[in-house]
This record gives sequence, structure tokens and C-alpha cells, in this order.
Amino acid sequence: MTPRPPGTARVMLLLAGVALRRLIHRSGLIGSMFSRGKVRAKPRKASSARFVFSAAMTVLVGALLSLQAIQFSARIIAAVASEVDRRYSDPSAPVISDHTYSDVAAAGNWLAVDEMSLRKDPAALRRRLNAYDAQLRRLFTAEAERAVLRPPRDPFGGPVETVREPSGDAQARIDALRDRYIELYKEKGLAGFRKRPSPLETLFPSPSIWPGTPAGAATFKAGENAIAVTRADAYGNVSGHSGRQHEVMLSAVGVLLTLLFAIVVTTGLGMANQNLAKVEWDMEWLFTFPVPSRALFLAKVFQYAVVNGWGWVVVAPFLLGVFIIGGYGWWAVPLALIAATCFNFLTGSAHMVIEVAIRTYLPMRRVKSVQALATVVGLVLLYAMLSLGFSPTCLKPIVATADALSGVVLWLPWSLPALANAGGASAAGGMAALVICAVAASLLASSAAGRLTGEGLIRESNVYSGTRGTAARKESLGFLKGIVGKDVKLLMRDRAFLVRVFVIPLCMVGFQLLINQHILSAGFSNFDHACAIAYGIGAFVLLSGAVYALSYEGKAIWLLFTFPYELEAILRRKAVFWWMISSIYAAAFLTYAATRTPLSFANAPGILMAMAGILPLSFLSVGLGAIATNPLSATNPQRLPVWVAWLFMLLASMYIPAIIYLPYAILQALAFVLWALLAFGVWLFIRSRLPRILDQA
Amino acid sequence: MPLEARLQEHPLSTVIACVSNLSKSYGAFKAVDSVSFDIAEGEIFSLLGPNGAGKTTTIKMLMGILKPTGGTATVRGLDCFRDRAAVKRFVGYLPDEPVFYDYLTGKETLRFVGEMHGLAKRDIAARWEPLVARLDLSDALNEYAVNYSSGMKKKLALICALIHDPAFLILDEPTNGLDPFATRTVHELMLELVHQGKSIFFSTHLLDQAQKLSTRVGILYKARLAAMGRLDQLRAEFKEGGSLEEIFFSVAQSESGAANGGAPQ
Repeated sequence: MTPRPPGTARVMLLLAGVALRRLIHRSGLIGSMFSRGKVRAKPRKASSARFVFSAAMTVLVGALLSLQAIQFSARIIAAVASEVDRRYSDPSAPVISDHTYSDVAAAGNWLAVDEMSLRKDPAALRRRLNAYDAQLRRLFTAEAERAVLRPPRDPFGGPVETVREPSGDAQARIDALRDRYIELYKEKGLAGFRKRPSPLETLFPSPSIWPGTPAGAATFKAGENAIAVTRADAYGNVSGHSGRQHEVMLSAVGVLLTLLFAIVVTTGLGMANQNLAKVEWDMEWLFTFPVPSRALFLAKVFQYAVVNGWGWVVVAPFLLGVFIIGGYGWWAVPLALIAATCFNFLTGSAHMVIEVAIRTYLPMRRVKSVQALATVVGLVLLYAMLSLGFSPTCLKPIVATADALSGVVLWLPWSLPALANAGGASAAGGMAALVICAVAASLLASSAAGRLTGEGLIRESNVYSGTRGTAARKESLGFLKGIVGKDVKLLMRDRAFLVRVFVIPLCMVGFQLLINQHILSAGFSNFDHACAIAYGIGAFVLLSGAVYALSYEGKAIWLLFTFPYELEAILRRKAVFWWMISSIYAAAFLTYAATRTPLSFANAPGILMAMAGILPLSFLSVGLGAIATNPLSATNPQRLPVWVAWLFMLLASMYIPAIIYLPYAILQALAFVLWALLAFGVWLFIRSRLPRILDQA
Repeated sequence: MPLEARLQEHPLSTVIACVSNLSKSYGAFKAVDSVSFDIAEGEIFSLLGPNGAGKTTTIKMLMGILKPTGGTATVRGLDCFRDRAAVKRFVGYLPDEPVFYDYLTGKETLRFVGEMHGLAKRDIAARWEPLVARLDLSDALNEYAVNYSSGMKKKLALICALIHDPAFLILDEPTNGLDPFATRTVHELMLELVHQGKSIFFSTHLLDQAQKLSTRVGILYKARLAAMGRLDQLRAEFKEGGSLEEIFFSVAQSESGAANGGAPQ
């Protein structure tokens, strides 16, 4: 009797079990726990320690990136809130510091303490009101003093307290301004003021980031003999979130989440995918089993949701920021994790359906172009997101979009976490809807993918267009020979890699021009800065390309072992090739900088050091990438561990302060010799390891 | 000592490759255990053995891909690991499952391999053309090699191994994945090369292939060289008048018995 094939849930369970077992075997941790004291053959003895180190590094780097993402999220949301505030507040309203703003709100909270007993004791009420008035007077006096005496700003842009004694004329102005503040407060409450954003708000998210007064702040209305606790301040003015401002800010958070959604999906299709045109071998294999295809695709969505670097390192911290700003305190952590999981399932569903659709409908030769396009789009969106925290000019389109789409954007499934700031039933409803949407999207996506692959996993059996039987055409780039010739041909034909090496550095420079205009203007005012930037561009090209010099060989690496050259000699040629490529970029930037800045002979050592520094760095990058290459990896031998990038950036960044900014040419020359010796030492170490790169013992 | 001098010092005797107590361990696991044999010029030496016996590991040590944990392997007196770059001048290698670059056509792959062996462009074409025609690969030469079937990849890898006219060929399962026509062509090619004075070392688990082609046979069983010699020597030792298949099973049975303390299987 033919056995009945497993159902969707059973398949999911089986695949999850296989994934878990692979992880356990990979780590060797469970095995080592039970084999204590026993001597047994360990064919892959080295992999356990390597896994623990790799896992520790991943956790460390992930934690650092998450912290940075939290800070960035706070900065971006604060910047957007500030723009919303500026756009919808009365432009004539005076700007007061964030701490005066929050202290005035806190005074209202204090006033409402022991409300019931105050109702019964008019004398105590009078004393409390007098104290409240005195506190308001003190706060607004301090604010008026700061405004009149115009304190110097600290280097980070925040206000500093002054100890200067006001003159008689200044004192009169302070008194007048204080009285105006108090009058305005009596008339409009806190809604009559605009809050100056605090530099601290850009470091960590807090509820005070939200534009307008927090709706939850306890304020009250005092009558003759009674206090009525309302959402109004002591003078009877409602100063909670203003309607339009609040709506637009909610919508702006929704737009930011939409941006994040697009970033995660496009980078998943582009950068995070080694070859979009290739169906993973395990997917092809799993298709040979008598299980429903939707179960396999559901497992794929699950995989994309769980193994999602962007989702956990960028989206989860952003959502944490959203929930903290929503005033959820420590509850923000579990809520952010739930929301991030749902968000990841939404992005995973979109990623999977688009991937399957591309492979089904597009000829394979076009798929790589789509992948390259997705890489560029993802990168542009990513930089657009990052630029929000730095460039006020980038904020306007976001707020304008939020304003125009305020009725629509919050209906999008991935924007639902924004409702956390709507408070009450909307927030709870938003979370519930998010969970439902994530489940529904996963089921719909797996079903759609199952239908799309009704006639096969891919449209063409061959990955690239065939020319079998056709007459020989003239070979392109035929004049290039040997290992460099081969590398150039592969580079020119692999559009995804080509984009990563040549287009992404251009995007980086372009966005730096947009975001850090002051850095570039400094670069053009001092040629040492220009040299440092040129060196940095060269280093980035090396990070994008040279680091992959050996890993890009993939499983064809065996060919290199059949040639009468040491692997080191082949890598040397690759290093020189990448040095030339990266030098072209650095030289192009220096040439551009030279047109903006008058050059003198004194700039010669800096230029020389910037250009010369790229040569040892190219050897370092090729060597580090080679040592991290795992050609025996069954799944993806072209992928490199993340520590390579971090170590390379650490080494590369040392060069700038240690050499380029040194004041004397002789010191620069000496430091350069040391730097070159360091690179040579690292290269020697790597050379000693290279012959055993295919040896797992 | 310079390489050329070392080569001159090494007498062009009949022995081209010498493997002495060659071992490879991964932790406590022995993949190859004290294997010794020589390969003479003009000889076809086949290494037989069941799956996991250590055939590919031995070949990878001969190619300098793996470092032996014990013993030595030399080709023309040059250490296969220490002098691995120089050894490749005389050696052509065909892996069991060749993989090629995604974006190079078969022709470009051959040209690249030829260039890496220092051949001039016209020489490369002159060398590959007869081989390509003989192995019936002409139609596919302008296509990306990654698209080839496994048999076509094997053919392309064989041409790569032969393009620099090596004196010693190391072939890992040379006819694995080939159709009967191509298999026959490869057999004929191997015999022709041997007649030209070249040596061939190949691994296989196809006993009839080994019997048909080999001058000598080594049987690798559980990482150890259980038997080695000409077919008539093996017959005399293990199975009088038997075929190679019968000899192989006889060796395997005696080795299994030895591993189980002499108890027959």
C-alpha cells in the first residue's frame, strides 16, 4: 500500500527539524556535551571551535549593529518629528527648550497628585496652586534668560547653561519675555509653544520625541474649590497631540516602515542573494518528494523570515524605537519582537513570491539584470533612509508623502506597527491586524508560489542562454590573458558583481555628497581631507571586490590547483589588478578635488600617501578574503564571514590618522614603511596558510 | 637547489611517481593509512576501492591539494606538496566532479587553462582542436561551461588536463558520467597516451575498466593498500585464474576478516 504523503504542517515540522539538526551538527555542541571523557573519532574536529568563535562574533557584531540601529532609528524619527512639528506648528510660536517643555508638563502632573484630598481642603489647594504658579514662573524665567542671553552652543549643537549676570536692560527684557510666555501659556497651554529637539533624543528613543505634548500627560483644570482631572493644563487649555500633526506623524512612521519594507525586500533579492537565477539545490531536491509545493514554499517564507539579517538588525531596533516612543516602557521589547517577526514574515512572503515570479516569467539572462537593479534600488533606498537622520532636505519629501497619504499608508500591513503611537484600541487593533496579515501573507504567498511553479521551478533549464551549435562569434575581451583576463571577463559578465564593485562605490560617494555636505566641503577646503576621502573610496572598492578575489572562484577553485603556480602567485596578480581598479577611483576623486581646491607642493606627500596606501591594502584585502574563503562549503562557497569586512575596515581605517594626517613628510614616510611591513607580515601569514585551503584537517 | 637542477639530478628512470607511506588523518579518523606504490613511465596504474576507501584523498595529496599527515608523494623527484607548483608542469588532473566558472564559455575556459600553463594562443587552439573533435564537444564550445551536462564537463576537464601535454596524468573516475561512446574514446585515448610514453594514474570502482586498461592495479580498502601488482601477480596471490572482480572481493573479504580479528565474514 502506498504511504500517504505528509501534510503541510508535517512538512514544515520535518524541515524545521532538519534545519535544527544541521545547526546542532554544525556546532558540535550537543555532541561534545555527551561525549565528555570518551575518546572517539572526530573527523571535523576543527569546526566546533570555529563555529563558537564565528557565533560569538556574529552575536557581538549583531549587538553592535542593533545598538547603532536603535540610535539611528531615534535620530530618524526625531528628525521626522521635528519636521512635522515645524510644518504644522504656528511659526510665530516661541521655541522653548525640550527640558522646559517637559518640566512644565511634569508640573501639571505634580499638581494632580492627591487630587481627592485636595478637593476637600481649599487651603491646601491654594498652597498647591501657588507652588505651581511659582514653578511655572521659575521655569519660564530660566527659559527667558536663555533666550535673552543667547548662550553659546556646545560643539554638538545643544544649549549650555550660562553663568553670566544679566544687565539691567537685559533683566527687563527677560521679565517681559517671561510674562509673555506665561500669558501665552494661560491662553494656549503648551500648544502655544514649539519644542526645540534635544540632542539626547537623537541618541535613544523616548516618548518626548513625538511632536506636540504627549496625550497621556496628566494635566488638570482647577476651579474655585475643585480640581477636575482632564487632558488639559491648569489654565484649561487642551495641549495633547494636535489632530493633524499627530495624524501626519503616524503616517510618517508608516512611510518609514514602508521604506524599510522595500529595503529589506530589494536587498534580499539583490545583495543578499548570490545568484537569483539559480534555484537552491535543496529546493530542487525537496521538489522530488510527494509533498505539496505550497508546504515547501511556506517553509521558504519561514526561512526568509527567521534568517533575515536586515529584519533583526535594522527593522527590530526601529520597531523597538517606535514602541518606546509610544510609551510602552519595557513592554516595548516583546512588542517589538512580535512586530519584527510579523514584519519579517511579510517581507519574506514578498521576497519569495517575487523571486519565484522572476524565475518563472523572465528568461534567465534577464534575471541577473533584475538582481543588479534590485541591488541598486535597495542601496538607494537604504541611503535615502539613512540620509533622513542627517539631511533636513531629505525630510521634506517624506513628510509631504506622509501628509498626502495619511489616510492610506496606515492601511498597509507593514505600516501597522505605526499605530502603536495612536494609543488605546487603535494600537491593540494594529498589533492584532499585523499578526493576522503576517499569517495571511505567508499562506497566500506560498499558495501563489505553488501556482506559479505549476509548470516548473524555472522557465529555462539552463541558467544562461545557450549558443550550442551556433557559429563561433568573436570573443569579447579576448586580448586579456591569464588570471586577470579571466577575472575581467567574469566581472563584466556577472552584472550583480559588476554593480557591487563599480556602481555601489559611486552610490556611496553620491550619497555622502548629499548627506555629509560639510565633510565634503571640508575635504575641498583642506586637501588632507580630500586625500583621506580618496583613500577611503579606494578602500571601499577593495572591500566590495578584492576581498572576494578567491571566494569568487567558488567550486571552480580546483582549476587553480592544476596550474604550475603557487596559489599565492595567482593571488598576487589579483591583488595588483584590484589595486589598479581601486586606484582609478581614488585618483578620479583626487582629480575632482583638485579642480575645487588650489593645489600646492605641500599637498604632494598627502596625495602620495593616499595613493600608495591602497597598494598594501589591496594585498591585505585579497589575503584576508582568501583566508576566510571556505571552498568546501556545500551551500555557498562564495560567501565570506562578516568578520572579514570588520577586520578589513579596522585595518584600513588605521591608515588615515596614522599616516595621511601626520604633519611631516618624513614621519609619513616612516609610518608608511611600518604600514607596508604590517601588510607584508599579514601576507606572509596568509601565504603560509594558503596551500592548505582545501584541506579541512 | 634550483628546480631545473633538481630535475636533472633526478634520473629519468622508469619511475615517474613515488608514493611512500602516504597517510592522511582528520583528527583520529584515518582517510589514507601508510600507502606506498610507484608508477613507472609508460604505465597505467589504477587504484581500485569501494566508496570512501581513500582514492580521492590519495589523488588530492598527489595534486598538492591536501597536505599528507605522514609519508611522501613525489613526481619526478619533486615533493607533491612542497614543490606543488613545479609538479603541475608535468601533471594533468581530472577531478571526479569538475566545476567550471559561471560566465566562461568552454573555449574561453580552455584558453584560460592553456594561458595558465604558459602556452601561446595559437598553440592552445592547435592542441585543443583535435581533442575537442575527438570527444565530440565542438558544438558546445561557445556555450558557458556551467551549462554543460556532467559528461560534457568531464570531457572539457579532460581536455583541460591534456592541453599542456603532461607526462603524467592523474584521473579521478575518468569515465564517471560519460556515455558509452565517450567512454570508449577515453579508453582509446588513455592507451594512445601510454604508447606515447606517458604515465596514467587513475582511480575507479569499475573493475572491468581497470582490468582492460591497467598495467598494474592497487586495491585500496578502508584507507590501506590491501593489494597491489600486475593482474597475474594478484591472481597468484588471491584467486588463481580469477577475474579482477573475483580478486577484488577476495581481497575485501580477507581485509574485513582481518579487521574483525580474523573471523570470516
